[in-house]
Amino acid sequence: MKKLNNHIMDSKLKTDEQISFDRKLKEIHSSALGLKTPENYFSASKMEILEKVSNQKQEKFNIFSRKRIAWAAAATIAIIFAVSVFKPNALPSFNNVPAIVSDTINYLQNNNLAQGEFKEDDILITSLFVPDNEIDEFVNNYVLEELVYEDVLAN
Amino acid sequence: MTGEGEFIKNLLNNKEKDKAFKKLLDLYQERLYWHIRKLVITHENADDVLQNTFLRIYKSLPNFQQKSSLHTWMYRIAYNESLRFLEDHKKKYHASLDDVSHKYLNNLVDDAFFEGDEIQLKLQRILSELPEKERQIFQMKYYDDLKFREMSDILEIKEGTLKSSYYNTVKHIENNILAVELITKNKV
Repeated sequence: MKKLNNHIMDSKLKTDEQISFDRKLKEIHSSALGLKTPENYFSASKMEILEKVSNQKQEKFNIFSRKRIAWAAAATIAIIFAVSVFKPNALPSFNNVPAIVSDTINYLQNNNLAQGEFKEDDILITSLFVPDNEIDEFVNNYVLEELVYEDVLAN
Repeated sequence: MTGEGEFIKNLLNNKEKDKAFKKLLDLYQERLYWHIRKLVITHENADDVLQNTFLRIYKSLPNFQQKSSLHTWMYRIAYNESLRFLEDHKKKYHASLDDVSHKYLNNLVDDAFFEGDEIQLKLQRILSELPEKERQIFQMKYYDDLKFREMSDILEIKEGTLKSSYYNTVKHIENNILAVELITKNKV
């Protein structure tokens, strides 16, 4: 409805001279050549053209946005590549894991896993880096020696 | 700044562009439609070409260098879009441009938006039998009321050549119409 009102307002932009020129054109084409148009054709056609122009603008915007995302992704990859080549220590790597993990691993490697004394969080993190059989051995010992012993003492 | 200069400035200004384009449609839609309709003949074809023309105009506005008037520039786009349309159909039907025009003319009688009588149909036939350029020159001058200077800009033909072509065509059409009238009278 708003579109229609806008159109009615816009049609007032035409001067009387222009309206009469268009009318004359219509008459001459009709009387001399027998050509006519569907009723209200020009209003309908105007709306259709404006809609197409608006869609074209939207399409252009979408293409622009897609291009921007592609450029951002390309730039990120380029930065990561450049930093990893020219400044490898700036990025986390397997050789550069947090200190607590490496300390725990070292501790476990230097001491027998079963003899170790450490917190549950440490165990969870460390378990990621320790072979499964060593984990099983540790859990069995821990359950038998610590939990059962505590339970006996408690009773 | 002139009225047209101000209007062009608005068309090129991103904030004012949409409003100015609506006005442009109001002012030129009908004129360009009739110009196109005579070249592509049926309403359906003219509707397609008119839409393409205005989309092209909107897209090309930033490249408008104001070497000619806005009116002439848009007519040239409409003319080129019409030729492009006919060329596409020419390729589709493996025919010449004149053959394509004849094909549309033959279908004109069945067109719901043609209500001409025998004389009007004859005039359409006489026009369609003219060489393409002569037909366009005649139509631009006689029906669209364009100035020879504007036609020269659109068609890129010298004004003198346009004038002589126009007057020769008028004579040719008059003679043919007289002949048609004589035939019609003899029939009665």
